[in-house]
Amino acid sequence: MALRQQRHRARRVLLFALVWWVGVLVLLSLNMRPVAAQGGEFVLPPGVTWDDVNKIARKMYCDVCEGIPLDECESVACRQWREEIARQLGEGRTEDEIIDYFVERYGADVASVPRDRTDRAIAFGVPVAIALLLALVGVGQVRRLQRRGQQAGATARRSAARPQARPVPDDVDPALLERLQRELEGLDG
Amino acid sequence: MIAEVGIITTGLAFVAAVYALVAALAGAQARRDRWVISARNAALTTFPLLSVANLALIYAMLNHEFSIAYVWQTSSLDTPRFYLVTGLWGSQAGSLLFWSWLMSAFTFAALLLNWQSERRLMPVVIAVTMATLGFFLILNNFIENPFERYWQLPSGRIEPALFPPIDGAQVFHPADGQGLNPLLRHFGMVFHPPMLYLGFVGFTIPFAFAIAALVSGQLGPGWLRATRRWALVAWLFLSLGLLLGGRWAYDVLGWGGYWGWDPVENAALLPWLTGTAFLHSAVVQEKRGMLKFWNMLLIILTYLLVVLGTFATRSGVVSSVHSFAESEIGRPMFAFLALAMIGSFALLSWRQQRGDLRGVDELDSLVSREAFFLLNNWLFLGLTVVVLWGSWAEAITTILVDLGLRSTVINLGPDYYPPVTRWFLAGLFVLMGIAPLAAWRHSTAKRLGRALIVPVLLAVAVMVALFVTGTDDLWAVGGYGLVAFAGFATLTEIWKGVRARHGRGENYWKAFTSLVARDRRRYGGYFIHLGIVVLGIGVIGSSAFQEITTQTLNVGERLSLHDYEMQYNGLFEAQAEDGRTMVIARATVYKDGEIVGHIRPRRDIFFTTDPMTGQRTPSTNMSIPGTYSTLAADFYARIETWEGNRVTFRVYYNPLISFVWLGGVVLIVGTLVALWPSRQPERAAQRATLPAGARGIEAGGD
Repeated sequence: MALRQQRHRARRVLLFALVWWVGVLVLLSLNMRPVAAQGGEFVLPPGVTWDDVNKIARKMYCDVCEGIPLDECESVACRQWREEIARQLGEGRTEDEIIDYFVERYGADVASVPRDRTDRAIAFGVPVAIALLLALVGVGQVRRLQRRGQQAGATARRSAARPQARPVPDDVDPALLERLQRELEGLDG
Repeated sequence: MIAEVGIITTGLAFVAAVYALVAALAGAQARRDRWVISARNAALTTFPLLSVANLALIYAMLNHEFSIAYVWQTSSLDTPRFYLVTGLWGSQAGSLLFWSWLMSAFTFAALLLNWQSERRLMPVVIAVTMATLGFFLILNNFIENPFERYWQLPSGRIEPALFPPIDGAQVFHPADGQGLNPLLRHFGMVFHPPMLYLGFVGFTIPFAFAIAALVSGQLGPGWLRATRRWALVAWLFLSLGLLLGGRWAYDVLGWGGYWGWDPVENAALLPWLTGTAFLHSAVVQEKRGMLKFWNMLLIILTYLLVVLGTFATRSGVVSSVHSFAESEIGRPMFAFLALAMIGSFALLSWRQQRGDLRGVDELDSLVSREAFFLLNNWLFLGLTVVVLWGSWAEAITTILVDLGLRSTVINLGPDYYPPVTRWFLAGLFVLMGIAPLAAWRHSTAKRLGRALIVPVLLAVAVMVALFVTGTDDLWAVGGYGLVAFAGFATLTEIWKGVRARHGRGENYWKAFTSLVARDRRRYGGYFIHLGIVVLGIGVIGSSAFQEITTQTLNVGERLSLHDYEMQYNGLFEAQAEDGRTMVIARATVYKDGEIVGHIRPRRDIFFTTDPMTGQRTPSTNMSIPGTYSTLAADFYARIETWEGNRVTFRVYYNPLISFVWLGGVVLIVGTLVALWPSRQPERAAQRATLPAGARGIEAGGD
């Protein structure tokens, strides 16, 4: 009986020693790899590719990194979010459901454009409103300038009639006249 | 000792700036010329003083004076000497000092070059430039001083301060520094920040002339004449800064792109947009005496957007990878922005009310070059406002949430911009083609139609060719149609001039060079348009047809993307001289089964050393892509993650992206041509002797 117990204890010690040495060898072999590991590798669910994940990640930001889209961000937090997207894709969730999940959990600014309809309307409505306002002001400015142009045109036509009534005096230097003519042509050009 | 040199010269520069500001205004008020001259001399003195301050900081960096907190933060013993110099703008305090130095340099040049010609504007020009410089020197002297040192208190505690915090405190000399932010250790970052700063600071000079004109009432062509060239110089630097920033993002950030619609990128784009609008409308005022108020408004807006951009980058109020760490300068910068905005708009509105800004505001026809320039200005302004909203929506709605007026924050990412900006860009490309072909004052639709027929037909041919060759993206086809139209219209216009001169007996090359030499500003502008066209080809191609894949490979495995294949050959680790560890993947790129290149995407892992314990810990992990580049497309790969020898690659196929850089080069060359001084007197003499028929070639101006 005592002998059996001793053998049993010896087997347990041997097993423990074996596990210990295997563990040490595994750790050593890991250390001998050419390049240190960069965190454990995430196994994608069947049928899901990183391209599927990044298609959704491209429309999101993580709540920590500064303005970097989730598909491009290289932080650990962003990697974990991408892995979460992959998991959810594996569970059969749609793109909208996944983004909504993150928005619900981390806030509205996770999404690249607002998810809420009103917010989206404001986001895209503001530039449209601005464009319309600018167009209105622009049209007003052009009409005002055009009106002045028409008035000026009428004045110019009246002035143009005057030389016929008032001929050029004989004593004006022809060189001066020629220069004035050239300058006027330059203005037209 | 070197810290004291920096502290004293920065302090003296501040005193000189304040003195110059007060003396210039008092001199103008009391009509004492000697005071104004004294103000000018004080303003000029800021440049050598700040040059010494900047050199002192560079000297401290080169000599590893880690007792200076800034040197400790931005350099280390293993930082290459080159980056010890560029560390000057590697962090907030140093970059502010650098900014102040550039501001003083611009002021120095403006005062020397324009002193005689714009004498009456000078007191206010001095006041405005010195107010801006003085404000930045307040930040430098009192909030973010790069010459702060570490002091060891008798209790053993170490704290940074300008002067000994208490009696018995001794300067503390750490053994090593933290090192420069790894993201800044790139050739692009050597030139990108200085170019942007030069662009930002440069727009202060046109603003100063505009305010001087408004204050003094000298609203004739003088201020515009003085301003236009400065605005073009600032625009050139801002363009260079944007292009180099894009290249840096492409090479270092590993996003596979050059523009991410990031709020800080947008901060530099906004003054570029209004500055571009100003450069166009300034021509209208010069040629037709129109748009006096409008030009003032645009240059004021440009300056305010420069200050807003600086505030965005340096306050931490917007989230961006490009911004400096959150700092205490946010509030003073906001106050300065508010003051500048209220002051300049009040002044502008006062002059407008008095009717002083009324020019020859007459538009003879809607079919005229000035009408098209005006429309171009509205499009630029519209684009500015929608980009501004995209950048600041988050900050604005956060304030509204804080005030209890809204419940959610609206954050607008890259997806917001393409649908809202493309209409403005389309309009601008159309105008880029039409406006140069329209005459000043009045063009008939028939005449304009005749001029446009060739570029329109060629653009349609391009679109048809794209369809026939299988391009099914309608946005891209439409975009290329517009870009082609603008390009062909510009080339047609240049060709007309060359042909006319060739008809007079010059060979084609001589005709081309003489044409450009005789009106550098006009043809420089056309080259800039061509640069934008080439850039547009790259932007549309790389955004509409970009393909991306992310795949995990074992050694020897391949992935396919578009018509390329990449075989992953192995991973190895290397140590760089500056202490970073590089994890490098070797890969071969194939096209149609043939080897076309070898790439080495890598990860650079940077370490920081604790000055107290000497312990090294990894700080930044940077992805450097491997790129096989041709004119047609870039094959761009980066390491996303790795586990042993198994690597997950993110690979991009970026068609026509080289055209973005090529377009940038053409744009810069065009700007240099436009900036090159013309021999005006000779030109005028030649103009007078030209036969009437030949004069038509010359007419029209820009």
